[in-house]
Amino acid sequence: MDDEPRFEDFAGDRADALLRYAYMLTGNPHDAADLVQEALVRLRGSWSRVQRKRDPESYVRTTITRLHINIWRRRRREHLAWDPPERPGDDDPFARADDDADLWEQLSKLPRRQRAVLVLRYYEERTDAEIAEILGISQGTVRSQASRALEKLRSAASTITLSANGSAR
Amino acid sequence: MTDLEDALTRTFTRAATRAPAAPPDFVRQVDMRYVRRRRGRSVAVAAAVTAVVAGSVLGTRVLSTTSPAPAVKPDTTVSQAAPAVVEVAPPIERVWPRAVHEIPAGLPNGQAFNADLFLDDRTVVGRALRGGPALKPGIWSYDLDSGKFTSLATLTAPSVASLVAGDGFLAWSTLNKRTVEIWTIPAKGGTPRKITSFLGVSSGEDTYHGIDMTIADGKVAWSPAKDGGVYQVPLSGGEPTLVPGTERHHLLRWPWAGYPTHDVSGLSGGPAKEPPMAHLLNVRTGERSDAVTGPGEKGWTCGVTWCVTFQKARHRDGTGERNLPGSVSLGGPVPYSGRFLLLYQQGKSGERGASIYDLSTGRAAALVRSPARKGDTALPTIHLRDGLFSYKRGNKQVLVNLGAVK
Repeated sequence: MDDEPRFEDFAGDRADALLRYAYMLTGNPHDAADLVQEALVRLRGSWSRVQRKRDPESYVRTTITRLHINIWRRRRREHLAWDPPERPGDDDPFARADDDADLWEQLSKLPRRQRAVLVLRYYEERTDAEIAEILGISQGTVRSQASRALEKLRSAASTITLSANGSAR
Repeated sequence: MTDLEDALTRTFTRAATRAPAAPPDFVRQVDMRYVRRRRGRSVAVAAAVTAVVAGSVLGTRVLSTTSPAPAVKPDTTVSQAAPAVVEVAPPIERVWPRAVHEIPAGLPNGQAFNADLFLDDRTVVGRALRGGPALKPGIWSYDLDSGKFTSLATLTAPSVASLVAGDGFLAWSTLNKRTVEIWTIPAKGGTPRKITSFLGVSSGEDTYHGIDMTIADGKVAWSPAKDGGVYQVPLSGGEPTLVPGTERHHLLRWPWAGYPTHDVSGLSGGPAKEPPMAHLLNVRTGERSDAVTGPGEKGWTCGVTWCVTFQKARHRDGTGERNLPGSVSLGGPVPYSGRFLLLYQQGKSGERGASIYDLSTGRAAALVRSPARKGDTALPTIHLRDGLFSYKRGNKQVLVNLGAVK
């Protein structure tokens, strides 16, 4: 039937939002673009099945997340056909404020799953139950991963504050 | 919320303003990547990738040495101008009955059997990679006449790419940390022997891109998928050597290697570049063959004899252009075994099918057909390699021996 949603329309409409989400997970625009393309390739492969269940968005976000955590580093990287620039956050004068930049950098040192839990909780504002489902882990694990991640960021923050008084960061 | 949690929300929100925006052709890039994947060179490193994959066509490109087609030689037997209105082709059992076989999906012990190649018209060779902890990965052959599996070798490390055959040997590659190892056994079976190894993932990289491999002239020859170059080592073993003058060239179909490679091609939506494999080099003789393309033409991908787009095909020299009786979006616009495409066809009544199209004769045969009713099962995953197409049907698998298509 022609009134069925088309993959192309979905992908076109949601690309920017998915890229933002992937950028939160990966911390860099290249990996984000690669990750979203890969997840959309897979969505396309199962489009008729997924869209029958009426929830391609959740399918593709779950794919992005699990790919990133479980598979991505082991996968052969394909040529990315376009070189995505990191957009300067000109519309927000505080976008690159030092404390945020520090925190952003510290996030990159977290294990991927821990970072994903933080992204889902503090950016996507998901409940622990939702996070557990997306990541395929128990709620208890969500909570322990979150507290471990926060603990690391806290101790890193204190180190940074100390060294910021010295010469080098 | 704690201060830290507040700071996280703020950091993420601000970072969102720096996130990359999708370029105008983003969806097209996804399409191309999807298509490349379907025809592409297997995902090399991790079996884990299959965990999320669903549906459609998986391609593994394995180079074969059988009947190398001459370049730029128009084929005179081809039927002209296939009809634009597409019908699903008749079933393959009727069109090429001697090429299609149904065999068990797994060994008697329950391990799945991945058919890789036809050693001859009656013998299939493949790998059994997964099973219980007690079951070792191995190489097996299946005799179409007796219906029996025979073990050819036990593997200590699963192969990361399909087997190749030639000169009485089977060869495959494995990845051990950053090192690619090439192994062989006699085609009748034996103990695996490592004939060479080399660095597959340089330091500073975290991705193995795979190799394209073949056996020919008493040697194993391969190209690293990313950087190209044709390397060789004798079947008896030794150090890899680069065939002089093959830098940047990617093995396509022995003895032909070419550039640009399929994976970083004009297909990917960048500015108009040359078709993949526009330039070929005969590794044996040094002969060169350049595909003819008109000014501003885009979307062509070339093989040794043919160049193909999603709807059209023609010879490398630009002659004999015809419409395809379907869309190549399933398998990607690259001929397998030099002359076969997998086409998606849809009839007027809504019937759908995945059909094999023989460029050299213009004949097509439906591999799978699906009735028109909504909610019917999707087409199965079809595995494409030079020499062999296959898909799973219940607890059986259907194999098409492209070498037996006459």
